[in-house]
Amino acid sequence: MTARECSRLWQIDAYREGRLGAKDEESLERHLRACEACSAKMESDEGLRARMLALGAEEPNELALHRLRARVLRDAANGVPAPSSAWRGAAALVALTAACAMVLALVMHHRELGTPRLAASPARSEASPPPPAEPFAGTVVGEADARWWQRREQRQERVELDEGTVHVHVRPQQAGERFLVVMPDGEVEVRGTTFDVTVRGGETTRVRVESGVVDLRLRTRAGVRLLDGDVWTAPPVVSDSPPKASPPPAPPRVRPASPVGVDDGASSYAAAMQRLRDGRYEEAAAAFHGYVTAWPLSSQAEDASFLEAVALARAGRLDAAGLAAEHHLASFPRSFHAKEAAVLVERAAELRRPQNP
Amino acid sequence: MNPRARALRLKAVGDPEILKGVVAGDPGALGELYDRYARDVWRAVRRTLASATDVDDVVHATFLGLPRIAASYDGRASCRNWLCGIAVNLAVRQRRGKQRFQRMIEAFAHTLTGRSPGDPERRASGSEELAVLDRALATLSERKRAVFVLVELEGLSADEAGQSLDIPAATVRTRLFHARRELKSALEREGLQ
Repeated sequence: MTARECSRLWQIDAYREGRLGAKDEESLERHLRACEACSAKMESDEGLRARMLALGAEEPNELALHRLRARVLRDAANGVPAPSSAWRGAAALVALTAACAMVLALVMHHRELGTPRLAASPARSEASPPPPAEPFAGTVVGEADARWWQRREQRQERVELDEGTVHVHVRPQQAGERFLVVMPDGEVEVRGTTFDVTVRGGETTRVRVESGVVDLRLRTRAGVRLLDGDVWTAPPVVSDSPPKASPPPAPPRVRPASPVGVDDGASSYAAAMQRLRDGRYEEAAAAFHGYVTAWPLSSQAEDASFLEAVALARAGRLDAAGLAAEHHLASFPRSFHAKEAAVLVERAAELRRPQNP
Repeated sequence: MNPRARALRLKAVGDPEILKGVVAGDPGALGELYDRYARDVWRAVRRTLASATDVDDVVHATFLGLPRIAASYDGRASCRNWLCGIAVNLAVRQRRGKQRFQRMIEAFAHTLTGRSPGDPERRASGSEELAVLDRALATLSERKRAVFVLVELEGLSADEAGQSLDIPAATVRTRLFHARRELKSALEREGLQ
């Protein structure tokens, strides 16, 4: 029987794709043993697949893959949009057009007098303000009753919240960047996190941290640091009426806030460095980690974050060192130590990779 | 949770949960997903693109774009096929845009380095057949090549490939039929079928 004569040839594709039921499969397998045309097609299709699979023998370069990994994480942390896969020449043309458009926009901007550099809440804005000079680091979603503004100047971004609840997601901040939510009675500062803030009647009533670290500073209270899953709620207002029988709300799980602006943790940093010099690497790693957690905004946080990875590597914990270096790259994408951190990440990846016998 | 503990925890969780982390902007989740599938994605893209030059860019674009599209994942236990589909789709777009330019460059490169199909040295080294297969695959249109790569080489079903490329499953099967036929003809011409 030739290929043109067999009426079951169409079933070969369905069989190879696994779309035939059990009975039809058995039936076709019996048929294949008898039908030359169908078995030839089956053999031909499978042979083609096997030969083409041999083309896939080319393997990615491991080092290049690790570099690519760091590039993906760095760009994701910086909020870089996925690049267009268009031809680079076209990209160059687009860039040239964009440059012309920017010059034109700049000229037009200078003609407009008194235009505020504020990005208004979509709920409030009637006329869209001009776009900011650099993209926002935070994504803010306000609830229906929220009144808020967002603006960014000189690498400092502020969300001013007058009333209502906003949900905020902030990408990891780079060295020199700050992100603040300013409420009528205080402020919240973050380095890259997801959280909600609620203001009622001019007072902050609730802060909930989904992930990351949030420093809450209110004028009338001591600062608190909130971590993953923490919820801070304002204590009830004291009144003249007798206290209720119900117990007071549980205090939030907080750590003492770092006295920002007063002590940047220099002594802690020095102590960690001393441990590193003394060869007490495990202790040094823990000390650097504690320093970064307590003083994420300090000028030495970047170094401390990297030195944590170094200390772990010297302690022989290469896998942990790799993870710490990876975290360092994500937290400080433009780190001065980026190359060295990438090397640690690669070494750890080498360890994790299963060894071929 | 400190980064090390979180990274270790991520190793133990499934793809759907990792993708939720990616949507939430967790760099650890993105890194973990990369570790799991970057090699598979790279190979799929390499098979789709005639040149290795742009493979890294497509892989980069695939993972960088994930936070925007991961929410659309259907929740299957493994997202390997889904990722490969996205990557091949991106590669096809890239290839389409560059095709004319690429042909010109490849023709130029061939005149500089190409050897005749019957070169005894290459035949002896065993690379001749691979070169012929590579040339045959490169003759397919980008649509047929994408379908062939996804279904025959990456093991996606026609339905999965259709979802990835945004075409009906029946169209996938039609293109696959033509792709096989063209490849077999090309191999016959080269004396390999």
